[in-house]
Amino acid sequence: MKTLAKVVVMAGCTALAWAAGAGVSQAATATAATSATVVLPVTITKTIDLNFGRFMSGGTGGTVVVSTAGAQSVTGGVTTTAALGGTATAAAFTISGEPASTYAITFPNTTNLINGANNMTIGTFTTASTGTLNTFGAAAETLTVGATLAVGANQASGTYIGTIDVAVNYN
Amino acid sequence: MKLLLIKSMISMVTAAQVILGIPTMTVVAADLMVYPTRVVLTDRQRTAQVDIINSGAAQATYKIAMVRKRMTEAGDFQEVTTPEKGEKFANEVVKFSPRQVTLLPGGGQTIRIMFKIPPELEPGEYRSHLLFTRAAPAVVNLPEKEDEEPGVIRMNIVANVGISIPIIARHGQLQAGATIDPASVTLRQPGEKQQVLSFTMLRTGTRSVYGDVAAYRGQDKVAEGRGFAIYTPNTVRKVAIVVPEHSRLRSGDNVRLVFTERDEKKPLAETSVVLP
Repeated sequence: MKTLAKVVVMAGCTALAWAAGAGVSQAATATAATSATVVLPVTITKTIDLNFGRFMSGGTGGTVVVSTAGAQSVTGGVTTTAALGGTATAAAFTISGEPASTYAITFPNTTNLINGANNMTIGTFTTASTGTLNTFGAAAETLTVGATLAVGANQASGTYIGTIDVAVNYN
Repeated sequence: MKLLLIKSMISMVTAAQVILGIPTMTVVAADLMVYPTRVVLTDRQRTAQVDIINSGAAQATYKIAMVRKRMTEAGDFQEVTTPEKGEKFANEVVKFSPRQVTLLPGGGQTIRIMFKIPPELEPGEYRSHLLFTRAAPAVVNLPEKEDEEPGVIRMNIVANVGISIPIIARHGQLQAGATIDPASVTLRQPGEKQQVLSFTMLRTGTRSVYGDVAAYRGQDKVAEGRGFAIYTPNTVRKVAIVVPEHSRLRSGDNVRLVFTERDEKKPLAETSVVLP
């Protein structure tokens, strides 16, 4: 019976200490909040994949271009038809940040896509935005990205893997 | 269905190779918060800290590197491969650590930045950009068995999104001025509702300028744009700000344009124009 009482008293003390602790930290939080700068982080989400569509490689090299509107065109030894090219899509990202703030998105000049000893390059990235001129709006905007794929003569089949380093650059 | 189509195409076109562009472009969102988003070091203030936080739901490793970038007149960035006249880079005089961090979800790390001034350093503004990228996962998506279709090329592209912030190191007594060219002010209407006010800002002096622009009609602020920089050695920046629908501007309106540097009250540049 005595032991139980002791336990209760100790528990009470602990609770008191907790309460005091909470009070102190709340005060600290309130002070910090008065001088805090709230910055909306930049968020980027992919909504549509970049797709060069279907096409045929030939005896000589060439390129496949996807515009920011998702239209496919070819040069050199690469051939296509309207039906084959119809599957092409530009990449689309949803991007948002601090309203009215400037931003700039950069893409690499060229990136290698590698399949064992074979490779292709992807480059000449083009961008278009539903928002305006490298400035975040109040609502999220959609950034569409096109690119050019360089295809070699009789490019070997297989799966090509590559990484594109995209950066959001603050002024 | 897809496989059937591929096969019929191959039989249809025997001479040429059929290429299927089906890149599964995976975006590795940075899931990264960086603060502050700009660092200025001087002879008196030689150290700074930048905090990064993993805002994603998984543990991630981030690489931190100092890169050289050049800004175009329109505000886009380009990689610098060959330095141009007057360009001074901070990567040789600014040290930082750590260069790689592994963070738990919600975990943070402070990056320490230090301006090491060599005795013979020429006065001026030195700038590079600190680039935070998520390290590529160790195992890249392996192609599935059924992907290995003869005569078919597939692409598996990972878009790795990073964040870069300018690191500016100023040595010596530097000064800067700015003006807004009144003749450059134009009002465009790219969309039905949206109006864009554009103008050219000019920089003089030995350091860069960074701040906010605002357009006033009378006492009313009709449009603003935040965080515009004109870096050295650039002297020109084309600025464009969106005019919200409720403060629509008209030809003949008298508009006052103001550029104010961050943490300053007095405008650095100011001009009044009657819209053409």
